[in-house]
Amino acid sequence: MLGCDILGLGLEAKERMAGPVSFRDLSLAAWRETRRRPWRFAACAAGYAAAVAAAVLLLSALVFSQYIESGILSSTGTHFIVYAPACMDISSLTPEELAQLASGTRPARCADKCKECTGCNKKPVDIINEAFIARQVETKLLPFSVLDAARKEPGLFRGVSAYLLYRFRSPIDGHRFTVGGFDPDDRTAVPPAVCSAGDLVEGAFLHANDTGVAVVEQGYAVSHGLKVGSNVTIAGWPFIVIGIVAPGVRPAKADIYLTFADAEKVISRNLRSPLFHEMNVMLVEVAHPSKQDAAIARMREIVQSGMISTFACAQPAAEVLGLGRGVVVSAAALLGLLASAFGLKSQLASLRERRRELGILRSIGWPSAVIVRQLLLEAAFPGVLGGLAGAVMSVVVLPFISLEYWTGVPARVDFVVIPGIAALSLLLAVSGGLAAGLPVGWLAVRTPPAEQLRSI
Amino acid sequence: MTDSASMINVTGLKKSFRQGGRVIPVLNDVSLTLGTGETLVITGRSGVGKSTLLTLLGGLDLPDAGSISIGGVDVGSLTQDSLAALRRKTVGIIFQNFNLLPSWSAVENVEAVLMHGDLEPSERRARAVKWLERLGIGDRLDNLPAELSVGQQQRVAVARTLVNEPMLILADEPTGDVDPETGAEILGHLRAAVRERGASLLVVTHGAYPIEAGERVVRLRDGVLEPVS
Repeated sequence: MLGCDILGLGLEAKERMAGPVSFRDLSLAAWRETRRRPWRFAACAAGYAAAVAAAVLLLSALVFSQYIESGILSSTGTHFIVYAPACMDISSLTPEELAQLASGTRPARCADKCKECTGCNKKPVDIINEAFIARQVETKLLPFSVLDAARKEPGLFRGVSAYLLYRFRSPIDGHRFTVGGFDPDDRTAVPPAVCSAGDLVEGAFLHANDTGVAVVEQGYAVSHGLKVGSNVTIAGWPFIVIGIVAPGVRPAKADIYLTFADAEKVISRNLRSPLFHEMNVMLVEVAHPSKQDAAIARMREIVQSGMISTFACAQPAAEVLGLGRGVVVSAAALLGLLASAFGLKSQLASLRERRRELGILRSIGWPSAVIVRQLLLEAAFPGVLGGLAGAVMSVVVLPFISLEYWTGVPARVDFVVIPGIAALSLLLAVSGGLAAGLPVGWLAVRTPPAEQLRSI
Repeated sequence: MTDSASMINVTGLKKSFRQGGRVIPVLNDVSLTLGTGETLVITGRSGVGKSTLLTLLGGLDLPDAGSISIGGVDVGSLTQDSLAALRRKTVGIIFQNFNLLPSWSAVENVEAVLMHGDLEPSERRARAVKWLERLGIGDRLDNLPAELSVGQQQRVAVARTLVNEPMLILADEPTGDVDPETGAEILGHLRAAVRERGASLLVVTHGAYPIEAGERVVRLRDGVLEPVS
């Protein structure tokens, strides 16, 4: 038998020894093919360029919208307030029962509902006119321990703050007004629910160490002739008005704002026993809009007694914005798929025309793997060049897109070209090209060479 | 001739094609042997299956029945990649219609066979140029096949086959489309490979072929080979 070494038919071993076709040779071959059908190449590359440019545009819009979304959500509704409504409407009690309550004795018919109530001994002296309130509802008091529990979960709660909101009755003219007491140093939970220095229309805002000073809500100031520098008396305690605020719609607004310590003092003067580490409203800022539901659920566990009323304004907004994000991501993915499908169609058309050539390459000993690599490279060429062109196009065009012009809304920011997005889109285009080349290569090498050579 | 000296050993080869639901038998029990350093000429009318036999011998297609052994190796047992290696290292095929790559220049077509070897690009180019010059078309190196005459294309196809110095040359009508002078020149190169390197040559032709001493001739008719007196 003739030796395999003489014939070069050691086959498997020899096959391993065969030098692979270099990348340079394959690239040259792919370039020849490109030169041969320039218009097909141009059309294919243009498809990838358009897809990449559109994807960059869409993804940049997505990043932009997330930026805006974050701004919208943080200002409109990633917060809620927690309070526990009082167990009974005082107005339904008889004068005798009110007298009992005011003296610290629980009326008989409250026995069932008030078993665990700890608030009765903090009832105002003037139980008919004065009360702890929130959202026009009389409330119980909450211990500071619930604040501590919430602060242990920064992943859910970005900020929690104690708040006192009490309805006074003026002993001079009998009008009712509300006093809110908060920590002015809290820049997280207080501003969206109560007020902040940004709401000032005149004067100065409270500071944590202030005492004997007040900030007054604009409407109340106008109706009672108060100005910066005026004096206002609360429970017999004089306060100097240092600022006027107009906070707009806030869930825990009051007529007069004091520091928490001052509010605690003046409110305690009208109670049968003073406040101690207590509040009637807890202000909560959620860590992220997407965690709103989880934060509310957790807060219900922490504050077990009574009910919790919440504001979930962020929820619908987050859902709508989330839908927009889904649409953008889907549209970008669809574009990528369409570009790949276009590339695949083009490659398949090329394969039909080049069937014979592939047969020739195989007849002169090109292995299947090299043929597949060759076809992949040819498929990747328009993906790379088209993708690059699309990325460059988007980088050049995007900065000129004025959101204010298109939306009619002063957007303050415009599109920013993010190199990572351009690079990712380019990568997707190349992957799309390769994905289009794979089935083409597979089809090419599973046909017998003689059949490919027979085709015209 | 014994099996141990055979380059090609074919027994009971059958091949048919399906066309429009009909089965058209082409090769019907073909057996042949070709020794090392031997030349075998297969003649026959057009369409009798000469080219089909050649593609089967080159491992480009599979027979319906029978066995083909090249250099003692059963071709039917080889994988596609091993068949490719066989064509790359051992078997050189000259096709009737040349089968040149249309977007590759003459020299690139010849180089294509050498791309899997260990040669540097410059060495590869030099070797391809040498063979094209030897075949008389050294001045058309960079022309595409479409820019060459039929005879020049034939020479490129021959150069592509011989550049790798295969031990088995399968030539399908190697002089079919060229003038007698060019034909003789091409045959000279093929015979030189047999004479100088001990290669085996199998030629299929339907026309006149100038037989030289020592060359065997058989005829393919009705799907079987028969001796020619």
